Amino acid sequence: MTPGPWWARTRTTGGADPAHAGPSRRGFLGMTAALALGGTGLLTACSGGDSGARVADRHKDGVLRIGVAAAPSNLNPLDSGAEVTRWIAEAVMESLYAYDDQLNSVPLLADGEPQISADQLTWTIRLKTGITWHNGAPFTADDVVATLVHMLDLSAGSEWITYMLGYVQSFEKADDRTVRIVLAKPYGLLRSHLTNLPVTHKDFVTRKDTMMGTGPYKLDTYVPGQSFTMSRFDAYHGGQFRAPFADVPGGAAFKGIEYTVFTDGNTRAISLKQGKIDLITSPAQTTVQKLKEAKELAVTSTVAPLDVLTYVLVAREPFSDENFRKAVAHSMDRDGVLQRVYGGRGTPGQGPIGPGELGHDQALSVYPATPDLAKAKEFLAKATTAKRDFTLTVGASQTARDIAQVLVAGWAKIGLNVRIEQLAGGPWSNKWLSRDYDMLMNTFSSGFTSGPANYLTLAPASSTNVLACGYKNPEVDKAIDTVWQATDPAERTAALRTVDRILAEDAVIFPPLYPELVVAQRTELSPVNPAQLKICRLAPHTLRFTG
Amino acid sequence: MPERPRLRARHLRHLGVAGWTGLVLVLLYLLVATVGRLHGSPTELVTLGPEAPSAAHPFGTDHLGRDLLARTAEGAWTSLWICLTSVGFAVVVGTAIGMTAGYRYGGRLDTLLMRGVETVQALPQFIFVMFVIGLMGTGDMHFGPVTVGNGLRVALAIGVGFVPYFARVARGATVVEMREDYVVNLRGLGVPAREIVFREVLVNVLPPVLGQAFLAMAIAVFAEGGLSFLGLGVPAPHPTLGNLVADAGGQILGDAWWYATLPGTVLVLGILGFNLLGEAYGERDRNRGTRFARSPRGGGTPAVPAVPPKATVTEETT
Repeated sequence: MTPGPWWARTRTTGGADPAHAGPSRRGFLGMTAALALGGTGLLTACSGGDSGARVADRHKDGVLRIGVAAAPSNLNPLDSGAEVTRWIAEAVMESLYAYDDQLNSVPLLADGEPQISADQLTWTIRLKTGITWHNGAPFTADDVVATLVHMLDLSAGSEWITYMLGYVQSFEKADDRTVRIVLAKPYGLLRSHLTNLPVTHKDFVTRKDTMMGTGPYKLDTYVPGQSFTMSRFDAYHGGQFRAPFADVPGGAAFKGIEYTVFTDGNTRAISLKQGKIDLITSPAQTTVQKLKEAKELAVTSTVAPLDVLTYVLVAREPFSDENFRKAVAHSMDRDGVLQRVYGGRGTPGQGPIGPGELGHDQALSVYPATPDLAKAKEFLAKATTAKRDFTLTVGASQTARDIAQVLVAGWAKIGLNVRIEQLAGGPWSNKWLSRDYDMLMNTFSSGFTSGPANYLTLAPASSTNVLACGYKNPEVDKAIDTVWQATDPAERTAALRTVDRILAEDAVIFPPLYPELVVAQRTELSPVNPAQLKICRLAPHTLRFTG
Repeated sequence: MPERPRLRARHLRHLGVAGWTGLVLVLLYLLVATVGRLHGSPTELVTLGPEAPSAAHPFGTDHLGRDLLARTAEGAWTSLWICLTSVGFAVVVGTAIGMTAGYRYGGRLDTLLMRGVETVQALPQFIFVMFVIGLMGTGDMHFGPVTVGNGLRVALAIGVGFVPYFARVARGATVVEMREDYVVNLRGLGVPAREIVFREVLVNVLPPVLGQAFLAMAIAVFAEGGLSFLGLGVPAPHPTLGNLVADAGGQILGDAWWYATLPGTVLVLGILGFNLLGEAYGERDRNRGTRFARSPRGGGTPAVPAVPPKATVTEETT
């Protein structure tokens, strides 16, 4: 005879049974309720205290502690430009060029400007001397070549390949301090990529379990999905540090940096408020007001290259019908998403290019902030497709789900029945790549791949791109080619504006809003550099304790 | 006349304090799940953000500005049909398996069926349901023109997890009934086995099974809430009590006390109510079993049961 599950275990009338000794279900329920109440009270009582004293005491170890929302499963920063990877890698990895505070690309590991041939097809880059990797090996041209080889290896799975394929023909080590890159056609965006692509040691390009860089901090240990511990690299060359940090030997103010993963937004915010950490990324919208009210905390909200990627599959019904697309675009509750999901921190969307990105047109006004239902119904009446339903596939985050719910409620007012499908990153990307979707939506920040721009967001609008959504417009194709090839920033900006306007007017890419990038920090820490935040960088190695 | 397992008004007094409390809680839950749905649309955006309870919105509004009473009611209704579907499925399938095994007690079919249900039972129930949902995903599944949503899959997954418990209870009760004199007599009179099983044995097997069904309802409400809380339940924007509580978790710092409290209270009403009611019903049934012989035709003979009554409830094993 076995006792069975606790819920099925009942008191018997047949006398005492030692196997059933213990609380009855009723007693168990009572105890649970009492423990829940008592525990809540105890936790509440314990959550107070002087956070300032705790921070002062904690700072004695010289370690900066940062709370992030997620951790990468693959630590190799050559494989991903997502902030989940790159925020961890910021103080560890460096690139040939870097952004200064005016967002100009300036040499970092490169020794000066690249020499570009007259036909613009050969770039020759000299490297700095005296730089060592965290393992003590000297930095040479072999490392840069190995990095480029990995990036262009189809089997390696680096997302950077989408930026380089078709343009980069070959590359070679000219000598220990010189790298030569040969292009198949002029590629103006190469400088941007060399400014964002981290360089790693030649023996570590395929490693997914560690980071080997030349930056001011080296990765010591990590617990997958939980924490990352870094210590100051004493042999750092000092290249990333300019005034006012040049007075600190080596430039780095902290003995170490620790990243801790708090997936729950409330836990991140409470840990910051209690002084357990110094800085948090992506505070939940609902916590921002509380964080702003706390005098020991500071919240920074910045216009940055942060997008709500919004794609419709023009190749199939119902979005193959332009009038249907316009009906959806006109009935999109942009202001509802902005106010309800982002607390007003952002701008209602129009075309694919936001205010934090090169080529944004502030004057572009195709769609109203609040739904124009009358106009939407007019377009819907003109639509030839009979479909009045579609699936909106969004990422797995609460933010993505909230955006979708607000939009779906708005579309219901013109009679559209929209089903929400939430998918994790991998399956979501597969839908995008296999072009198996009606409408796709997700948040994406491009600062670590494109700096103050977002070139990837335009890819589905190009008829020849692997991500093509089925939209065919020679003018757009030509403008996108110009964006990638032009070396003149003005020419590129003009092309970007053209693409932005056409895609908005044709209702091909019409995001609900352009959100701002928000971080929160303790005031005992120097303020995050707003210039670097504009390209999504926290630059933790440039901060210092102030109290 | 023998007692039948129907919940007649005169039987309610046997429920006791706990049973009455459970009944009131369940009725409150059902009230919210039914009348509450008349309050408005659960998906319409009615305010700009979360608002405290008021006359217009008795439960307040959620973080996106939707009426929380309408959402709680819809969530309670959704939880209710998922739980009824899962428990109903488990009762039907579990009873069929258990009675078949009990009828063939000691035979190969009995062994085969009970080893089968024990295999399912080997996995903890919640883990089993998560395993099944994980395998199938949370998106809609299409079988030709038929679309199966995740709600039905959750209900069936929970139901499959319950089948072993009902099968064991039904088998135990069937084994006891099959040893009773009235069954032997009916067999001797040449009554077909099918008629004995469906017309005579089944009515005596059902009371302990239904007692467990109430308890299973409580677990099903809890399991559905837990799955939705983890994002494995019914997809947004359709509310369930679990995903309402999960969404409310993101508002802890926002002073929106009503957001987690009120849907959470309704969830507790359901779990606690069904639990207390199930226990009271089970106890009443056991008390009844000690006073009367269980033959539907036997005329209520004061009895010493053929086997101790506790063995007829949950403890019978192979």
